[in-house]
Amino acid sequence: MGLPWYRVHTIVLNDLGCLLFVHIMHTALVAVIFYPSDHSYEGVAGAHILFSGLCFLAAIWHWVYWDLEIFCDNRIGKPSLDLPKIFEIHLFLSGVACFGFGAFHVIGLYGLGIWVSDPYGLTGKVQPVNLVGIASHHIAAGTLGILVGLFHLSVRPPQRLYKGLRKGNIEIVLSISIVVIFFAAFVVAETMWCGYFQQEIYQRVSAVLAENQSLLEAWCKIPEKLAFYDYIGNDPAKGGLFKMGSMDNGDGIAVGWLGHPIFRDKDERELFVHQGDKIVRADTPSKRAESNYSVKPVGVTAEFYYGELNGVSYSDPAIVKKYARHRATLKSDGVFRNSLRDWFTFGHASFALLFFFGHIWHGARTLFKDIFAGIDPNLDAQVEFGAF
Amino acid sequence: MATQTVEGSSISGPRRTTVGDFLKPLNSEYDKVAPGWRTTHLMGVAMALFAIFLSIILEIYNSSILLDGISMN
Repeated sequence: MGLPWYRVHTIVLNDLGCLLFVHIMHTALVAVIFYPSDHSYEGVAGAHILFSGLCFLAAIWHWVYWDLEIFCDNRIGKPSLDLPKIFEIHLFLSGVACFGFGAFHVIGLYGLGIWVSDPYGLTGKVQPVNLVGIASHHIAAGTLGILVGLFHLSVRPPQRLYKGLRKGNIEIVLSISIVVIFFAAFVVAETMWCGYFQQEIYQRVSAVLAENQSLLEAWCKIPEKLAFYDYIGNDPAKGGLFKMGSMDNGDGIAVGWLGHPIFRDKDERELFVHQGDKIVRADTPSKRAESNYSVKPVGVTAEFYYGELNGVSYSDPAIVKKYARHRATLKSDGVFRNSLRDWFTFGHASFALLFFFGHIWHGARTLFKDIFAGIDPNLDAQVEFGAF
Repeated sequence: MATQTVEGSSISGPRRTTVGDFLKPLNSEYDKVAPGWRTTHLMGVAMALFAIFLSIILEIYNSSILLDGISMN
């Protein structure tokens, strides 16, 4: 009988030519699909398609010539792979590539640099970049990879770790590889969920103010895309993820930006919408008896910068409260529906969770292989099962 | 058919190639280990140092660690 559907990929395990084939083919497909959309130079796109084509041919070659002497272990007469050695080689090569990317490609010493642009991609170009973060990170991480790779190339794993982590079993490699995927997915999902957009906006405004320009000029420079991402209605935590419905009617589609409101009390101190442990100077009380800090006696005003209400100032408490409550200056009517940010977060968080489960699954399968196969755990004292 | 034999090399065993001969030493130490715990302690120290390094750069970025000449704004 054929294999059940959830075991079909196991056919690559004992056929190393096939194993190589699937990995090279995957690379070929990723190169042809992913990269041409990432770059705007036809040469780069062409190079990736060429690379993809070569990978495709290499994959086929390896599938046809599956029985290679290099895979055959003469001592046992069966194919085998020295997995720790494979890891060491890949770590070393990755370190070299990472270092080279940082030191040469990004900085422009021997390479084009990276794509740098405005948020709409209108005025950007590929250029050498001395951004402290990107280049120096790759140089540092690449150096670390090279040194650690060389270390692992010269030292074999200790028997305790080899046996304890089943380093002879390729499924543990799969389990660890999955970690990398879900880690990256969680990071981007968390960023889009919590956002750092407000911090970014304030950083930009401060930078402009530091050059002695006015508040209005500072807020002019904030790209609308960034302001839109900061809009609280896009935050998945506001229920945006699961409110379906037309984004046209009612809410969701932002039709304009009223501007950035700055709230001041009657002493001209700037106030901020409450976000944690700051000093409370004004609030909306629920009982009249607690109304010391109420908006009206404190004399809170709201003045708008940039946007449609540029220069307008409100002192009427009802209106000031409305704008403080929503932080909703994107002219919506109050019902949150989902958005680009929500879908990004939802998708990446879902896959991150799936891959986390996959990591646990394959790790557990490897570490508890004997129990899965029905071997009595107590038997391990006399006969070692599945340790290698 | 996929099982078509290749002339010459099929009788004498797996196929040898130039690149394969060059790389063979890299796939000849299957199951070779260092005895006992050997470098595990070194690995533990390296992991601890790396964790401390990551904590430092995280807390600098988070402004939980404040250094002269580095401002996070």
